[in-house]
Amino acid sequence: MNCADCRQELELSFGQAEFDATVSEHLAQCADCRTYWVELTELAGSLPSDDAFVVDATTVEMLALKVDQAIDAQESKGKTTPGELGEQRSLLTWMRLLPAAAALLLVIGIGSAGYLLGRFDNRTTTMAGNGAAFEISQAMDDDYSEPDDPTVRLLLYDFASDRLYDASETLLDDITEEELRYLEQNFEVGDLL
Amino acid sequence: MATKEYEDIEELARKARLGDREAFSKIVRLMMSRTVALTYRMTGDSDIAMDLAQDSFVAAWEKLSAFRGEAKFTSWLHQIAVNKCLNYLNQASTRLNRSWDESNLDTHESAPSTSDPERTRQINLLREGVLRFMGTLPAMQRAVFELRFYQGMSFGEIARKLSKAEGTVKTHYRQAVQKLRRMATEKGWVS
Ligand SMILES: [Zn+2]
Repeated sequence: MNCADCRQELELSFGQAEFDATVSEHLAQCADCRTYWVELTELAGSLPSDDAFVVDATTVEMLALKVDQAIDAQESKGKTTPGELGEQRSLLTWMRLLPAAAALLLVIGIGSAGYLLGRFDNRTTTMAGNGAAFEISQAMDDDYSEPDDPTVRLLLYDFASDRLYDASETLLDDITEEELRYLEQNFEVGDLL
Repeated sequence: MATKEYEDIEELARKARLGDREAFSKIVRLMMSRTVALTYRMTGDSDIAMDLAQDSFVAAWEKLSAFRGEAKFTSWLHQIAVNKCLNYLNQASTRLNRSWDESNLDTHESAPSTSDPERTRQINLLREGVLRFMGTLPAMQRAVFELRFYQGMSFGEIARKLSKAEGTVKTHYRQAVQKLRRMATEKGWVS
């Protein structure tokens, strides 16, 4: 190991207690790199810990009250207690599958639609009246990613909003001729099975 | 944070998971300061930092049923806060190069961790120096430094989180460390 490689490794292990055996070997025989290592170790040790960054008590209380209010506001709309979240997740998981479900309905026919719609409506009924789709989207995981295709996204969004406001409507009633054609063109039964 | 306090938080988290709002309120008060510190280091804007910290707690309450207790609650909450910051930083590329909000530094007061006024003064100077240093870093370097140095994540984890190659993440970290060393030498933070 040369000095440049050694320093590179030392920089990468900044703040860590351990490094490679090859680095130790080099340090044992190179005074310059040893000096560099001591310097970095001292620097890392002198940086303030997380505990040294402190917001004063008044600010903490003010922020905490705002959090309480935000949660109260959401709960008064009848959602977001931890116990209810599992139910929301099921709905969200289901909503993510909607493009595929819609295509499946189109391909295998209305016969199967009764079952799927019944299942979907059961889920959405618990959510009906609880607020806009925007709030649902806020309850989603941070790692949730929307479908890339903007048209699919729009369809999904429209559909989700309508479901929340009126769970009694059926899926196919909401889809226009144009949207039907789009789904037919973009999804195949093979993709779904 | 003291070990006892961590234990309290884990215990409170167990209660909060069962829907105990009071327990969650206590968690918010115990962890707010550290969470703001994290979001502030990552965003460099105290108003945004406070907003993101609040959002993180609200999101944590919403997601509590998903918290299985496999990781520490404190780490879990920090992950939520980190994600909030990354989402914020990714929302507009202009934000990636936003200037550091130095005027807001005084809203953060240091904990009196020592009774020695001279030592307290030194700690404050260094703390402000580090905040200033974080502010001089481009957002990606800042995020990498925060996640590695303060959150103790591996380069692999950081790479996945930031959707970057591991090599790129390592380069960002080395650049941040080199910059910090230069600054520390110039300002005389270390002997
Ligand atoms: Zn050397």
